[in-house]
Amino acid sequence: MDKVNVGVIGCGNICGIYFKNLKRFPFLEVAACADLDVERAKAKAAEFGIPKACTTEELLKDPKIQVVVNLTVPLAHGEIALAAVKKGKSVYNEKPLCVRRAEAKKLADKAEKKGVRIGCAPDTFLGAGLQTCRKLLDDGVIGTPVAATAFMMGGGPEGWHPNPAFFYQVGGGPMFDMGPYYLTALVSLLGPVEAVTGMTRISFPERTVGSGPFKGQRIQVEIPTHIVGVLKFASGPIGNLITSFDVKGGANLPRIEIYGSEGTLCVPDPNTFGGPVKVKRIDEKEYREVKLEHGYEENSRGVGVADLVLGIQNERPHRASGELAFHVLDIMHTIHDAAAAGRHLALKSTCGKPRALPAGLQFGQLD
Amino acid sequence: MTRINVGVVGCGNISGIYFKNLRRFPFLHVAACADLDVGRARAKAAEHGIAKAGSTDELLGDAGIDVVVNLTIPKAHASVAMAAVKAGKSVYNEKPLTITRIEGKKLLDLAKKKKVRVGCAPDTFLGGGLQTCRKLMNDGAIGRPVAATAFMTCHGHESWHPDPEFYYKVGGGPMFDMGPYYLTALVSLLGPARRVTGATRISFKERLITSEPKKGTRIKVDVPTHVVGVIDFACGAIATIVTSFDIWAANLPRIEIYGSEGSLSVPDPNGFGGPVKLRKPGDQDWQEIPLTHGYEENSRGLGVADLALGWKNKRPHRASGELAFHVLDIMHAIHDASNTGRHIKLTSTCRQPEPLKARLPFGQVE
Repeated sequence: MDKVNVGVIGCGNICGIYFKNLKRFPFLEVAACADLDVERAKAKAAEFGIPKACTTEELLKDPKIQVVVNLTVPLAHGEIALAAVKKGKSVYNEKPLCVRRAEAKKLADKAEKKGVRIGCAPDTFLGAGLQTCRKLLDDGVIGTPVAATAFMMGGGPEGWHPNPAFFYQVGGGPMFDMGPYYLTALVSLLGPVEAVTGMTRISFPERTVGSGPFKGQRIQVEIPTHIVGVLKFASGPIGNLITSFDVKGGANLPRIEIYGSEGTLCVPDPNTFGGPVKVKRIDEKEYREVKLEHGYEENSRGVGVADLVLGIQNERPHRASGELAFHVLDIMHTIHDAAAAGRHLALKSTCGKPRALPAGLQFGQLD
Repeated sequence: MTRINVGVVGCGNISGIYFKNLRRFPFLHVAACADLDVGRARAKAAEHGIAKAGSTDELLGDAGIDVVVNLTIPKAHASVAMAAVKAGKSVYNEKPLTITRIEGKKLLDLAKKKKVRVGCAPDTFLGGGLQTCRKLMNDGAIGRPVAATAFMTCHGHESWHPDPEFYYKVGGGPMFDMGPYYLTALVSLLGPARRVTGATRISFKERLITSEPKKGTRIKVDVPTHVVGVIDFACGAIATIVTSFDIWAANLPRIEIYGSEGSLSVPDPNGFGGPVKLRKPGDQDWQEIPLTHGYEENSRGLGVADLALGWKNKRPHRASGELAFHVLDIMHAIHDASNTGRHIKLTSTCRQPEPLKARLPFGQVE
């Protein structure tokens, strides 16, 4: 079978791991890369042995490219993806799918019309840690899930990030920054959410950059930085999710826990692919760590792209889908909406639970 | 100084610790006890050297009794407390203040008219652990509080309690059972709340008793057993609280308070002691803080002593009816928010109770 040609747009910090990982899948070929700064694209092409480096327009015009991996800044996700889809290409966006729901909806509609696919990061839920959790749930090890908690409690990135202003502007904030990892993990494990409520606040109206070229510069905070969400999953469980940039002294909270009718599952950091996965059943005195029997335990960013490509080749749905990412985007926005409106809000979107991966896959293998 | 005469109504399980502790306050005198079962009251009187044992009516009719400690079952809290107040006595209820908000309101209104005091358990927030937390916060150890979390998770009481049915009936559930400890602690540390939202569910429609003597009996669950609340405090902090009878195991702390300059790990609010832990930005780990305040041991009854002395010395008491009513209102409003799908603005409020002095020996509250 011919390899599927992939083009990468956006050669910033995150692209290295994509280039490195995508080459390890035998059924795809990274044929081109592009950046606003063509020199940067050329440097990456040289580093990773990519035959073509060009502008975004050139890449999008290249008829050979079937799948575009869109690693641009969040505000550009909608526009670049739509341009790719208009050219008849499938596209895989870095998270979040888009900043606004309207853009994402337009993108999904266009893709459907054009018969192409939308995929989106994060793909960490395809890693060994979260897939092991999925298998434990599917096998009924903790019975029926009844509740879940998820916490991302930080003090904000301005202490270490060289240019952190965007974290505090529309499209930023802890929910849009880190929420996709937590929510994608939860939805992949428990299925879609039917209603949410929440409260938010801006605890610090101003932040000070702590390092780098902008050190000492003040940032006006435009969006909530402490976001408490309550999630009602269609399958029944109630989830608590807190994402915060306002917790300065740290917290002693787990990342994600799922509570079932017969036990509890401790889910690993959803911003990673590995473990530890721990479980405690009614009949057990202590938590036990579960051996990971699924592949992709290392940093496998890009596995969602590979799964999309193979989904096209093998005519099956892909897992890190636009539908899933849209539902996650909708949940994040709706939590903010519910906080602003002072009520519970039903979600208008839903999605299927992505199919589990089989255990024992080698890197490069998916079906 | 003449001592303040206290009468205890309800001589069940919890009464022992009250009898034991109340006699250690030199300004109090437990003058009488009463129970529906007068035999039980007599047995307690003999055990704890109390001069009088009789019926509730007799105790309430006794002109010598200044303060009634109401340790009856939750359903009787309102009627016994109202009767005491009508008789011109101050009253201190076990938690919750009353079952309904209407009863609670009526009680506070009548007490105001009668110029008597209403107090209510829990008084664990007056213990060494929570008072140390209070002092740390007042001293600015974590800066301005911005958020908090509180978790009480377990799988109900049908595996050990001899008669667990009431936990699953109106007035029961994890929030009304354990919420008062957590919410009273939060309000004492953060001040009053102004708005709440929440979600609740009944995860298991039926419970099977596995403890004697009712082993094998099934309980129909009438009230939510997983109760999630989000609380907006007047000071600006947003707290998340989960109380649940639906969880087998969790790695969640009891209470944490997050401030602009650090985080505070608050001890179990159902106890009087520690540990209290503090973590500042950049710290690798939590640091345990030695307790600065007395009443580290099980001091149930301390709130009664504080009420009695407050009444005598004409200063507000700490475990007040106003505080307990606010806590009751928060618990109900979380359920209301879940039922109506709306955030609920609270109509009640309360003053943040005054802290206690550091290093008080048992028996001293001022």
